[in-house]
Amino acid sequence: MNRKKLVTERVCVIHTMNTDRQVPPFETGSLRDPSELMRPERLGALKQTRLSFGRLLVNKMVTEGWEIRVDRLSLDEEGVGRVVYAIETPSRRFSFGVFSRNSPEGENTDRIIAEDWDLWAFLCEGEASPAMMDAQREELPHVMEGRATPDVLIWTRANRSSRFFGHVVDSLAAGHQPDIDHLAAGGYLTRSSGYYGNGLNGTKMFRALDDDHPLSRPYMSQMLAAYMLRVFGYDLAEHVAAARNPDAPELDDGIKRYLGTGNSSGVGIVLYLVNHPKQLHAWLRAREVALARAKSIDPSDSDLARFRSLLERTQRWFEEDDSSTNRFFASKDAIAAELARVSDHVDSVAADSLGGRFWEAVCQWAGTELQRETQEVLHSLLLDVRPAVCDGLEESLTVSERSDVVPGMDVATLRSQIDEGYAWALDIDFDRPDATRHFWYRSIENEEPRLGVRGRGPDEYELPADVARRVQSLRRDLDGFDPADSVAELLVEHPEHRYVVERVQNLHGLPYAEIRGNPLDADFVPLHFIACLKAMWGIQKAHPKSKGWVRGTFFQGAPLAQELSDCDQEYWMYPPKPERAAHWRDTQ
Amino acid sequence: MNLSAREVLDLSEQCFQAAGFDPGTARANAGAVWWAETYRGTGLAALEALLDPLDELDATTPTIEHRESPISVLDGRELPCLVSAVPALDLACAHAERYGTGITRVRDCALDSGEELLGALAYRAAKRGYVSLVLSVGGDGRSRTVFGTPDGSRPVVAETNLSASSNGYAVIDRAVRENRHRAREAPLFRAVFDGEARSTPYEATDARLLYRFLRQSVEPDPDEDGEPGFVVVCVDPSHPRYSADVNHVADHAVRDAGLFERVYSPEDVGDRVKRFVEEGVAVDRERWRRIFEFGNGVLAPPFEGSEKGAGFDLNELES
Repeated sequence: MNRKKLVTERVCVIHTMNTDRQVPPFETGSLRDPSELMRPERLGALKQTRLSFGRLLVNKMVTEGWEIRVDRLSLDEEGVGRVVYAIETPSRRFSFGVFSRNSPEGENTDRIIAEDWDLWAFLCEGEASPAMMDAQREELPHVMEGRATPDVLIWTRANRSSRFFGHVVDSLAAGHQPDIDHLAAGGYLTRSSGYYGNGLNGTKMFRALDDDHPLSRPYMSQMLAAYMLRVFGYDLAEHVAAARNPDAPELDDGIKRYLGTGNSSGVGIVLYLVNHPKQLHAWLRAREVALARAKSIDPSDSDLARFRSLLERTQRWFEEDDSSTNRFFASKDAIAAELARVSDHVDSVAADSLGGRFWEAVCQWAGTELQRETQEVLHSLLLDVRPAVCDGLEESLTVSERSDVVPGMDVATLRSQIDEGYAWALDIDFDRPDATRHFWYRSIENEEPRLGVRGRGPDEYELPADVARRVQSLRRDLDGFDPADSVAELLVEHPEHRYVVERVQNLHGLPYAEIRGNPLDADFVPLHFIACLKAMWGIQKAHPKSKGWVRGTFFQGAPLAQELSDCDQEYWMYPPKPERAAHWRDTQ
Repeated sequence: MNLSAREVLDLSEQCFQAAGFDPGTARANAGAVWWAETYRGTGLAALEALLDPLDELDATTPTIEHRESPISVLDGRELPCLVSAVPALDLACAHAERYGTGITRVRDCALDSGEELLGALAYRAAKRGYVSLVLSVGGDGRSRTVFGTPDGSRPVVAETNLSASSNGYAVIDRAVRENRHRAREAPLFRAVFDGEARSTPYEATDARLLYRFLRQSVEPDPDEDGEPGFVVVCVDPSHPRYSADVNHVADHAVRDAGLFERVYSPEDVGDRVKRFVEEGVAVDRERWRRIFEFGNGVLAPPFEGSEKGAGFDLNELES
């Protein structure tokens, strides 16, 4: 029964764990103010952390020693055919079935509704029998009508990277390793588009996964599929190279480790974040709690040594990353230079004089001296200095997004919830023509959410991305009601407000649920939202193709499949570019 | 073919949005389709039957005629009953929270399609913590009574079909027609206790009232003069006015009294929901295609901007 019980945030502090991983307490008030954190520019600056879903998956795979092996492989010399991987976890087996083709140049668009892809794949529970492979081969190309069977967890689609896949194959076929400097500009062989939600195309619902299911955390199925595309990309490249030259070397493990899975994401993600505010709040809050804990720690000498080591590695990664950030993100070189300043600053501040306020002081300094993106890199690193600051937070990432209107609430209470939580929305001047220049829609041609210009398209098909404008409209109409009237009475006369009333009521007390921006504005930059979700997923790198389309890389530096069960890599983020080895040029 | 539970909800929501409902109301109506599928196995069929009326729907809203007393009256404006369903439930719940009992009478709505989705209102009210009754009478005089009561995580829902309007429906209908609903004091009490007294096993007045009204709601009205429409009744068992016996009456009604033709036990429904969540919901492909194509009404037709990929200024970087 949820009546009369609006969601209120409870600050849960884990005071003690075991002695080796003691979780420090934090002050409730030390969490960042949403008026700062929830601005699009700030969210767009966020970086992956230990709580990003890709990292959580790798951590789980390593901790539990998952085993991944090729179960069946049938590919021709062009890499066309099918492969089934077996994924063994302590509690159950999964299979990853891949259908590989080699699309003609220029056919692939990376758009999630496209029907032309180099790779179609699915992740399922149990074994992917030949009959199941045959059935899924028929269904996967049909984006809308295709049907999975209930044991299929997720579908995914991907393309070979035109820049890097061919280069790797050509190099291996020529008997040597690829040019690492060339690969560093991108960092992947296969690139997927956005990720399909559980339950689409008849796949298994997220709700159907028990708590003890290995993939029961949000996005775990999607992340495992992305990881498997990385595995398959290497196997595919080596297979095609070997078909050309039986003596072709395998791709060097150091290079494999340095590469990941590509991702291409576009404006559809903006609507995803608007439509999943509770998930957004859960992740941001977990991250902020971890950061608050980290800042409250009085660093030991070993903490400082670890921080310097991580900082140096990260600085180098930014220096070596040749991908262009264009004008939408801070340049990698600028971030690297600022990380050097962080190092100098930490050296110059005596830890013992600040005690438990050391990291807080460093962050305050960074907040005034450095760009947002560098600040967020620093925050991410602090979570890696003492990983225990993330303990107990993973569980908080699974949220129910069900909601209902609270019809008995009086108008005065609803008004005060708006005034308290949506002052930012009430401050937007919607009389300014540029404030509503855009509208969001889905078209028959594209189906994915798109951005149109108001007055130059059918804005009667507008999607409800305009939270701030709807809140303002609701707030105006509330003034026509008696404070004692009920929300139900309001909604009889104004049913058009139901969506936003439900939203306001159910998000009350969740300070990180609403992004404080206006997606209708002429100056709106979709990349800010996209970059935020990429940080949640754990994607590194960012090569914007426009202000609404960006490519990035998952799992760069992550352990390889054969290393999961016996991994001694304590930290794999921000991998250094492998040094060229003499044998890389050896012609076999 | 099989649809996941998520797809049933998404498709339904899209259809209601395509018909012009606000996204919030569309989501609530989609929940009614899911309820009908999980409790009765008929949700998608009901949605398909609704497509033609929805296609012609002028998405105007019901008009509130009266809201000052615990009985609200809505003019359904000859629109499909589903248009009035969500506001009717909200009003009844809001009044129940305030007064202990809330009643919404919806007049002049079309019940020839979507009526079975009204049962979801009883479920939804029970999820919100209310004991509830949804009483409907179609143009042919046949009526349906659906009862819902909170029961842990999944309410108990029961229903009965009658060949004529129920007594319970008739007393509310008469009270409204005779303008007695404007009395601020216990109109349900007056309506139900009008006429012949009947003994009940309960001492407390509130429990006797509910017990009597429940019985009346599954008995045919001898006068058969109820006008078509529907009534939503919500009772707040935790309201300070009421005794704990209200819960006992509700429990007794669905467990022992044999009042209803069909009682959907939470355990059975839970098993069905679990199966749907794990295996999906079977649907005829042609039915799915009709629903799917109707839902595509939310998609904008091609226009100059839609041909520009992601949108203006969103394609390749301008140099």
